[in-house]
Amino acid sequence: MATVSRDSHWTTLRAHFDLYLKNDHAATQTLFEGLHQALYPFFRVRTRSETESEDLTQAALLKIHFARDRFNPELSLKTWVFTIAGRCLIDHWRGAGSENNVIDKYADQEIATEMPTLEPDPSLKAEWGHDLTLALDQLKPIDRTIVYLYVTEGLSMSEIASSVNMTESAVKVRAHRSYAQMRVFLKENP
Amino acid sequence: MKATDFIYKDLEKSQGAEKVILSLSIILSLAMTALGLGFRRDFVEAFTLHNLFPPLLMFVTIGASLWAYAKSEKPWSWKIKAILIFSALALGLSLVQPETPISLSKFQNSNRFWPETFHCLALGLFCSFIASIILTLIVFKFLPTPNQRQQMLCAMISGLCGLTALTLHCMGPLLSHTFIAHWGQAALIFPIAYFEQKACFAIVIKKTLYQNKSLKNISKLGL
Repeated sequence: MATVSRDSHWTTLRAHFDLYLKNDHAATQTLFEGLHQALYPFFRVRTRSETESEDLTQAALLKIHFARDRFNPELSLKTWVFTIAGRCLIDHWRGAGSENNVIDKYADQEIATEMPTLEPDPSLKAEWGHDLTLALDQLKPIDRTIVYLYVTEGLSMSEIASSVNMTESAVKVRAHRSYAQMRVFLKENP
Repeated sequence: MKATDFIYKDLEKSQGAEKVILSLSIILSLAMTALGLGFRRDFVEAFTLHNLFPPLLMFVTIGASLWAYAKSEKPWSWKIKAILIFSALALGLSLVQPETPISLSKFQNSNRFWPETFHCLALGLFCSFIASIILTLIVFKFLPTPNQRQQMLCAMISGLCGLTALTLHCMGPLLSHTFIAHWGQAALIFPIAYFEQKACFAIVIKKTLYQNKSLKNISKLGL
């Protein structure tokens, strides 16, 4: 049911995107509000910081605006948007890497537990449940992205593969391992 | 200011894009005509009506390139085809200029080849540079802020303007002269005009978005 709702949301956004390209002001506002709603939780789950998530969302929206003529109308808007969002995140980590080595911080489980706990958006909380969020916290950032895009955004494996710039089989393997890891975590922490 | 506010303002500038493109095409055409013909000492003797057709078609090419710039609903693949056709047309036209006794006499003495070539190269660079300044001023003020590809397109249009001015100025019958001086100036001005566009883009983004402290981090994200 949620997937149907999300799909219709993206269908509406796609219609607004077409109008945005024709400079329709009202459609542009609706489109960017909708994109903000879709992107903010994506970054929130990944960065665990409100400020960083807002910055990344704004940057992603700007990138979408400046790349609007590169959108292929035959492809899915959702995949394109999350590809841009994924690149923003990678750029963010690369930039932050020299300052505080964020990637290593996420990869290192011991240090990761010292970080503030993720308090997801109410919509996410309702959809996933708190335990699942904790289980997601155990995953590596890239694995969390894959699970997030699959479970919450309903992207197909091939769409996720193009979003995270990996092969479809690699995404499937990572998803499979992530589920196994989460299953173990949930079993040990009932 | 939020990024979304910037986007809304940017799109507002698209509303009157057609008029701006028309005005910009006319301004550039007049400026290039004035510069191209103004520097000709042999203007009265050599100028014939059929000399007008290549530059006229180049003006159309400049206008069409600007139109491709402003039409964001057209996909880039469509634009790149159009731009390639326009560029090929402009470069082709620069080779088929009508010859006049004066233009033919220009290169009869081989000693005059390099002075004439440097003269055209310098004039072409000057015209292209003027065109790039006009373009930058008008584009950033009245058209949607250019993305990287549009910045490259503007740089290309600047070179095309120099080529048009040279088409009016010098009906060089020698291919070597046309390649070195006329096309060479377009190749030389491209990186200059492109970095000019990039610098202006950085200034606009900083000026608009950095008022908001939380958006300062956007600079790290390679926009």
